[in-house]
Amino acid sequence: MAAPLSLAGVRLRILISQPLRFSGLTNQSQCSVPLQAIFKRHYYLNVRELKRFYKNATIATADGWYEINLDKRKLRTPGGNLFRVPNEALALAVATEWNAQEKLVKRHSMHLTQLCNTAIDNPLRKTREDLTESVISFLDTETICYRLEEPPELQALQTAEWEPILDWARDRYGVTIESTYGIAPPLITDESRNIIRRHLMAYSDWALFGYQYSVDAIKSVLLVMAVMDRHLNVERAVELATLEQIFQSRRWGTVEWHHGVDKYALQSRLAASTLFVHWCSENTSVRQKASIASQ
Amino acid sequence: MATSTQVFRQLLRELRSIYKTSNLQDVPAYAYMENQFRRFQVTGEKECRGNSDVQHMAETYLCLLRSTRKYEELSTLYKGKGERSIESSARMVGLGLPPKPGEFDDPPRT
Repeated sequence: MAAPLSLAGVRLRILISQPLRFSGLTNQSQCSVPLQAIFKRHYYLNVRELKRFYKNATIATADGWYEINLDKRKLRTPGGNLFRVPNEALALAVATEWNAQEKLVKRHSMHLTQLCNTAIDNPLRKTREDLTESVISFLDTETICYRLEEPPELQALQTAEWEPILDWARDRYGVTIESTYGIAPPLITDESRNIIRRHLMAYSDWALFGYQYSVDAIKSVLLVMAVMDRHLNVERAVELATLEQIFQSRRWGTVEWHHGVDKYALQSRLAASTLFVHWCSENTSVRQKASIASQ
Repeated sequence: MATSTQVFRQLLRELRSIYKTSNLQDVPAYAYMENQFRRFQVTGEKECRGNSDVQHMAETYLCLLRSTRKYEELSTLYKGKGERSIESSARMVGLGLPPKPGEFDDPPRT
C-alpha cells in the first residue's frame, strides 16, 4: 500500500473483509456502495482488538496545531480525519496515552484520545446549543439535590457533605437550587438555568464536549462546575457523587471487582475530561516582567 | 493537601512506569511537565492563584494516570475467562453429560 498506513486504514481493511465473507459478494463494484454505509455504521462500534503496531508515539506541530505521530505515521481519527489538537499539553498527554499501551491498544481506557476524536469528528453532528442543553437537562436530576430521609445517618451525611456545594454554587454563581426529598424534581429557577447556560456558552466548542462527558460520568452539573473551578479535586468529586454507595459499603463492605473498578473508572473519566476542558480553553500568554535579570 | 513536590514525585513514578526508561529527560512529556512545575513555582508561602491552578492540574493529571493504571490492573485481575463449557457447568452441579455417539462400545448398526 503506497499511502501511509493510518488507523482508519487498518479499520477499513478489517471491515472490507467482513461483508465479503458473510454475504459471499465477490464483485468489487457491487460492494463499493454498501461498504461506505457499513463503515459509517460501524463508526464507533468497532470493538475488535488492536495490537500495538508502533514503537513510539510523538507529537509534531503544523500550522499552530499539534499532531500525533505513531512512529512515522500520522494518527487519524476513526472518522478518517487528521488527529490534531490545539494545545501542546493535550498532545503530550495523548501521546503518553498511546505510549502507555502494552501489547494491545486498549481504546476504552484512552479517554483523552476518545474525547479528541469526538471533538474532531463530531459524529452526532452536535451544535453548541445541543451540548449546552444536554448539560443543563442534567440539572433536573442533579445528584446532590436528591436527598434521602432514611436512614438518618445517611441523611445527616448527605446534608453535611452536599450542602456546602450548594452554598458554594450560590456564592460563586448565584445559582439557587432547592434539594428535594421526594420524587419531585428539585426547584430550579429559570434565572439559575440562564446563569449556567451563559457560563457554559463562554467555553469553546471543544471544551463543551469535555464538559458534557464529565457531567455524563458523575451525573452532576454542580460537582463538575466545582471541579472545573478548582474548588474540588477529582477524587473528592467522585466521592461526593457516589456518597450513598460509600455509605452503604462502609456498612456492608466493598467488593473490589465492582466498587474499586467503578471508582477508578469514574475518576479517570472525570480527570480526563477536566484536563480536556482546561487545555481546550486555556489561553497561554506569558508577560515578561521588566526586571534587571531579563535585560 | 499534598505539596507540589510530592505531586511531582508521584507523577514521576507514574511516567516512569509508562515509559520504562531510566532517563526521563528524553521523554517530551516529562520535559514539558518539569518546565511547567519550574515556571509556576512560587518561593515562600505567598498565596498565588497561578500556582494553585498548576497544582490542581498536576493533581488531576496524577489522578488520571493513577486511576487508569489501577483500573486496568483490576480489570485484568477480575476479567472473565469467557463462557463455561456445557461439560464443566454440568460437573458443577454434580452431573455428567451422556456419552457421545463415538464413545459407545458397540459400533452403530449400519
